[in-house]
Formats: sequence, C-alpha cells, structure tokens
Amino acid sequence: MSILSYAAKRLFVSIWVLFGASILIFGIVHLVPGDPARVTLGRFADREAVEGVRQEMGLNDPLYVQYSDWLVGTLTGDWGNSLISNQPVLTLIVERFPKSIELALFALAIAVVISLPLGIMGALNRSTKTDQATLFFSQIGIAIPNFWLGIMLALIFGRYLGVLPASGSVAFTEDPVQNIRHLILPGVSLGILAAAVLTRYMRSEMIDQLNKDYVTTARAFGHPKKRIVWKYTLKNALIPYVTMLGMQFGFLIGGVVVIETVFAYGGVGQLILNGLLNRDYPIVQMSLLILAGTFILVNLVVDIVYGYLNPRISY
Amino acid sequence: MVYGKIVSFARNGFHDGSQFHLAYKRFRSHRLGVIGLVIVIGYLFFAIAGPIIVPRDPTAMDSASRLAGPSMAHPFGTDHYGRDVFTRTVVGARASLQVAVLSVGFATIAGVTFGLVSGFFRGYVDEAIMRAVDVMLAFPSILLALVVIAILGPGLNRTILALGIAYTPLMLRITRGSALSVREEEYVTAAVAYGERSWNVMFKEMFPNLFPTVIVQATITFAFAILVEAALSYLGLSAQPPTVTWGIMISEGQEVLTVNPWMSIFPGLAIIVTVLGLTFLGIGLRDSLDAQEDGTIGGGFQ
Repeated sequence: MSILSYAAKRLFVSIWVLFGASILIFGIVHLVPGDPARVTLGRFADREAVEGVRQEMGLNDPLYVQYSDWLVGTLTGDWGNSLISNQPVLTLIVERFPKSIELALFALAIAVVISLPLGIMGALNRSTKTDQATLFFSQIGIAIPNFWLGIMLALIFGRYLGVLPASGSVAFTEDPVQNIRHLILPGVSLGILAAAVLTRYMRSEMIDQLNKDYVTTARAFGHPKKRIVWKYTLKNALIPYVTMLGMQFGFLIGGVVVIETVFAYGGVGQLILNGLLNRDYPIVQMSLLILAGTFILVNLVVDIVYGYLNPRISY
Repeated sequence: MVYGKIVSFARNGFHDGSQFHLAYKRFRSHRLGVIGLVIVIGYLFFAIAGPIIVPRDPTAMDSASRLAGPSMAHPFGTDHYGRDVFTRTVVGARASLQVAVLSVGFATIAGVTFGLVSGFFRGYVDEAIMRAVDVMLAFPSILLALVVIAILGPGLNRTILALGIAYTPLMLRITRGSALSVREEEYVTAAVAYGERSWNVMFKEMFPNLFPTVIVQATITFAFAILVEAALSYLGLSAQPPTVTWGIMISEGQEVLTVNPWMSIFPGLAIIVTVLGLTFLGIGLRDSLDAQEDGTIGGGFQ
C-alpha cells in the first residue's frame, strides 16, 4: 500500500472518529437527567421560560432532526448563543481558541527543550549517576500535579521574586515580550508532564538504537563513536520521538482546562470549566468539540508523518 | 475459576521455583518496587484508618490559631478556619482512595472483559469494539471525564463513574493487545478444539496469562486516577466541601496563598509521594512479573 492510500485510510478513520465524537457531544444535552431546559433555568423558572428555552434549544423536534440541525449549524458556523451571557458561542471560542493552542504549543516547546538533551544524556551515560538523575527527574515530573506546580511557581516567581506575571495573558501582536512572559509559568506547569514522559521515551529509544547490530558493525569498521551517535542512532531514535511528541501535544490540549484556571489565562479551557459550573451547554459542547477535533487532527497528522518518516511500517 | 486459581496459588504457588515464587524473589530484590510498596501500604493505612486515628476532628475550628505555619501543635499548620492541616491531609487520603479504587476497578473489569472478548473472537466483534474505542480515545482522558461530568453534574460519585469510563478504553486496548497474542498459543487452540465454552477459555485459560499485564496497568492507572481526581476536585467538579480532598485543600489554600502557603504545599506533597509510590510499585511489578505496559512509565528505572 502506498503512503497515499495509507493517508486516505487514516483520514477515513479520523472522519468516523470525529463523527462518533460529535454524537457523544451532541448527546450531552440529551443524557442529562431531567429536562435540560429546566436544568438550565433552575428549579424556580416558570413554565413559559422553560418552553422558550426548549424551543431555542430545539428540544421539541425528533432526535435525528435535532442532530442534523446541530451538525449543519456546527459546520456553517451557527454555534448558538451562551445560555448565560447570550453572546454568540462562535465569537467566544474564536477569541480564545488561538490562546489555548499557543499555550499548548509553548508547553510542548518547553517539553522538547528539556526532554531531548536529558533523554540523550541519560542514554549515553546509561546506569551512571547522570542517568539516575535523569530518570528521577522524569519520575517526579510524572508524579507532580500540574495545577499544584502552577500554584507553587506562581507563588515563587510571581509573588516572592516578582519576576514573572502569575496570571492573565497578552496577545503576541500587542506586546511580544509580555506575551512570552505570561506564557512561561503556565507553559512550564503544563509542559512538565510531557517533558518527563518524553525524557523516558527518548532515553529508551536511544538505548534501543545503541544496542542495534548496525552500531556494533559501524564500531567494528572503526567509525568514531561520536559520529555513529549523532549521525545514525539519533536520527533513528527521533522518528518514534516525533510521533510521541504529537501524542503529547494532544494530551496538552486536554491539560489546558486545569492550567488555564490556575493562571486565569482566559482560553477555551476556562470557557469549558465555567460552562460546566453554570450548565451552559452550548459553550461546553462546542468547546469540547473543538478540543477533541484538534486532538483528532493532530493524531491524524502524526500518523501520516510517521508513515512518511518510517517507510518500513506495514500500513 | 479465577478465585480457584488464587486459592491454589496461595496453597501451592509458594513452592520454590514456581512462577509466583520467582516473581516474588525478583520483586524482593527490586529496591524501587519495595520502596513503592512501603509507600503504598502507608497510604492505604492512612486512607482506611486515618479518620479513626487522627487526634483531631478535621472540621474542628480553632479560631485562636488561624492560618498558622507549621508548629508542634499543628505540624502542617492551620487553615483559614483554624482547622488542622495535618489532620485534613490524612483524612483527605480517603476520598482519593475511594475514587481511585472504584474508578480503576470499574475500568479494569469493563476493559478486561471487552478486551478479552475482542481478542478472543477477533473479526467483526473486534472491529466493532475497537471502532467504539477509537471514538473514546478521540478525547484525552480528562476531556472524556469532563464529558461525563457535563452529563451527570459535579460530585464525588460522578467523578468515579467519569474516570471509570475514561480509563476503560486504555485498559481495553492493552488487554486486547495481549489477548490477541495469547489467542495464538497452542493451549488456547487446544481448549477451543476440545469444545470448551468461550467464556471459560477467555477467563480460565487466557486471563491468568494476561494477569501480570493487567495488574501493572491497573497500578499505573491508579496513580493517574489520583492525579486527575485531585485536579477535578481542585476545579470544583468532584466532591464538594465539607468533604475533605487534597484537591479542595489546595484550591482553598490558593485563596490565602500569600498568607499561609503551607495550606497548599502539604496536600500537594501528599499527592506527589502517593503517586511516586504507586509508579515505583508499578515499575517493580512490571519488572518482576515480566509484564508489558503501554509505555507511560517507559524504560527501566533501576
């Protein structure tokens, strides 16, 4: 099978998954115990108001009509209004989504900067004190709750040292320096888990490669070790690392919900949390859909890139 | 059937040279695994006996000493109502244990059952189950948990169900992977040819061989459940006060962070130590049982 048909097959799977996810998210409103309109308005709302919301949410139509209306609306940009503030959901999300992506990308960059050198260092100094220290870091990084780390970093760097802002965000177009400064603390808190996982991953992939026959052969032919490491093993180890990177990016997108709340960052994550606490279903649905959609898209790209980088895999 | 296996393990499994004995010997000399086991036993002890053995009432307010730092009387200090943070940290272990045990238990039972069915029958059954898993894996597990919370509303029991559902596809996938390879073994083919009932083949023949993989994955998932429960209760989506959880304590502490940071520091440290203990135990079990894991804890850490 060629790379093209492989890509087509993966695309097909992604479309199916997105379809399934949309049904699940659409179902949120309908699986809520009781009348969602009543749940939204509270126990003391009068009958007319409830009926109004039912009409607005289209709850009186048959399910498949509701779903297809919802799907068409979603695809054409009619995402409804917030039940609380009455602002269009599309505007709210379009404002905040790029900020969340920016945060996740920044966290990913931090994870790469930490994990790549640590992983390589650990693998090259296997079973030494350096290696142990690397593994210990990654173990702590996995065990630390990211929101707690965020609070501690905000306390130390924001409050005690006063060197970095501990809440809010600034657009890059407005002030690039302030933008980066506002990203550092949430980025580190969010990225530390990915850094820890990627460090382990890089280390074990690198060790795998160093144990391969081609390394022994190259050594026997008298190639200097440095050249083998940097020219061959590193390149081979980077292929699975890049795939893992994409997966981690997906998890970072899930992590923004928590970290954005810690730092009052004002992205989609905070939108979801407030929506959940206020039972503002249109916001919750569309925000979850956009994050799940991003996650699916990233995984699709990662799989195709992996297929391209590693022609040996059987499609 | 499985119960019988365990009983016979307990009676006979300890003979020198038995699989169980070998694994036990390997585990005993696995330093990290033993450290993990000790931490986990300590955690279980506090979570189960904690509310009985703590000297104070976790909700008792001492208005004379509010927001105090660590002292002899209050080793972890006091919170904004003058409640003892040490007592509350010990008591908070229980909520995390409750959520983790029940959600991982749910995910393990559901994941192993469907994973075995998928790996045993293969073909269309496997296709159908795996396509559903694909959809569930379209969400990072915290988002999937949020979908369930969006439906059921916040609360401790709902968090348990949410996490149980969120972790099911992960348990399912790893069980199916191992089941597919065990399915090819001769004793499984023999059992099928012999006309043994499918259910028996799955649970009597195949499951004992997947057990190491399942137990290692469950231990690691347990650690993640504690982390995610803490995050959800920090966000106000899990248990509500006056229930004491580590996440709620950290969130309450954040409001008075500059006055008394200890209120947030100690419950956070409790989470770190517990999760470290569980991952160490998971690594120890993996290495001594010679099991697979999905790569979350990565290469050997000896």
